Amino acid sequence: MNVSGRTSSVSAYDAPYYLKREASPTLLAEIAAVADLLDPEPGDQILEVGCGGGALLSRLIAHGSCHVVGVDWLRTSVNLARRRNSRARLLQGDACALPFPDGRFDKVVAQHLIEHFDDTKRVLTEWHRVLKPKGVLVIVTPNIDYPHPEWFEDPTHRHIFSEADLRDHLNGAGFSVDETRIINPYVGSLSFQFAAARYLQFLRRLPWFGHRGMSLVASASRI
Amino acid sequence: MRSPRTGRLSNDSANWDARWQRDRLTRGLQRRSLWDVLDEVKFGYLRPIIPRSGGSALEVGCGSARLLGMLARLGWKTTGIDFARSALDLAQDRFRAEALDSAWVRSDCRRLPFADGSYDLVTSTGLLEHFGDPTPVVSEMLRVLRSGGVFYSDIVPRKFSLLRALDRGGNGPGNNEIYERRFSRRSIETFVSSFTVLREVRVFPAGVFPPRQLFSKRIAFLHQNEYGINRAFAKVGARLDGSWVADWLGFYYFVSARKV
Repeated sequence: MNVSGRTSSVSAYDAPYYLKREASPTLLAEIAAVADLLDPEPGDQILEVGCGGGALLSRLIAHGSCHVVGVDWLRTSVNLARRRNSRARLLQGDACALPFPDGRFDKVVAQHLIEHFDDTKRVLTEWHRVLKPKGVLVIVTPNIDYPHPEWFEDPTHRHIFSEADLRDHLNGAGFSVDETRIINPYVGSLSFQFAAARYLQFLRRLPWFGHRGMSLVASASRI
Repeated sequence: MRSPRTGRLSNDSANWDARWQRDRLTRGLQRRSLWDVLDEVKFGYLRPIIPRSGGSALEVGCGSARLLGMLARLGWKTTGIDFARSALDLAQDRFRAEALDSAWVRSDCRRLPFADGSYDLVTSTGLLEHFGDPTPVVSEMLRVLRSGGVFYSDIVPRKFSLLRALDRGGNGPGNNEIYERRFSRRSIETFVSSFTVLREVRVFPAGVFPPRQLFSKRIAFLHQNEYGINRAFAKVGARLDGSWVADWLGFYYFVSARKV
């Protein structure tokens, strides 16, 4: 992973960015999908890689009785997430070299992180390592078929995945894919996208709208 | 405490402490007022959704704990949390006067000193709007709520309302900076629903009441009969709750949900 190359371009990931992003219904729909696939249960050890401002962590903590750990590459994100989630354990670290022993977690979640790596295989292998056998990995990433890729354009993005692509990568890294979903269906115009995220999620089940959805969500178990 | 430069009220614990202390000295608990009517109406909405047999209730940012008192009278085991000491003093006065019992904790509501799932009901009244980012507060409230328990909150956003219509300078920037957030019905729904652990999320506008300035000491008749007049008014006003009129003229949003 090219560590030194990313420092300049990620400087925009600050508190205002995260707070603004959290108000977006598309992100909240993603959180709902993640919570559904992750299904936090009492006693679960959950790791969020790339926790950003800690929006998902707060929602997981609200479930109660599970232990939540967040890791992010950026000091600013870790500090923000820590300020907002006094219950979570938060660490600054590299998603490709996590400071945890093998088989430490029941569940690992990475929201909009996997697209930032040159070597997808390497990062998936690392997440595979920290998961217990039969542990669940949930990934959210932009969908390549979304008609407005400029919407999520980011200089630190390395790979944008299609559904099949992501399945292949997961299978190749020793996971068995349980489910993939494309959520936040495309409704023909960017301006309707937020309203659609709230009221038109059902469109994701229809072929044309569904394939062009904004976010790709996958859940896989460690074999 | 008004900041000398901007004349705005700040939202720190010293300011709230001073406000509650002033309330304790001037208002007293004997005289019933508009605020009692308000909480009676609120409690009317809350009562059908909470277990009849009672249980344990936590109010976060309890202030003078009027609502908590109503629960305690029904036999609920109550806990009140506030970060202003004088608010807790006032709440204790109220409970002592009625020989009710409750636990009081002075704490930051972004880190509640309780175990996961220890309450059947977690409430806050007029609290969440005071936070630029209420996520940590709700996250903690839900953590200490048991599965199947009731989450209830009412939110008083920075908006026009009949109740505050005559307040000097209105309820906007420059006058009442303690209301940090604007919230609309939709943004509250989005925010609360984002906590995926909640089901049966219900949000409706409420609180059409006559301007509170009418009942200041200036007009003795109105001041003396504040409770009675508002109770009579509430018979009509409360019918508007949930309608577009309440969205326009009401001053708060009622939010309730159940934890999975």
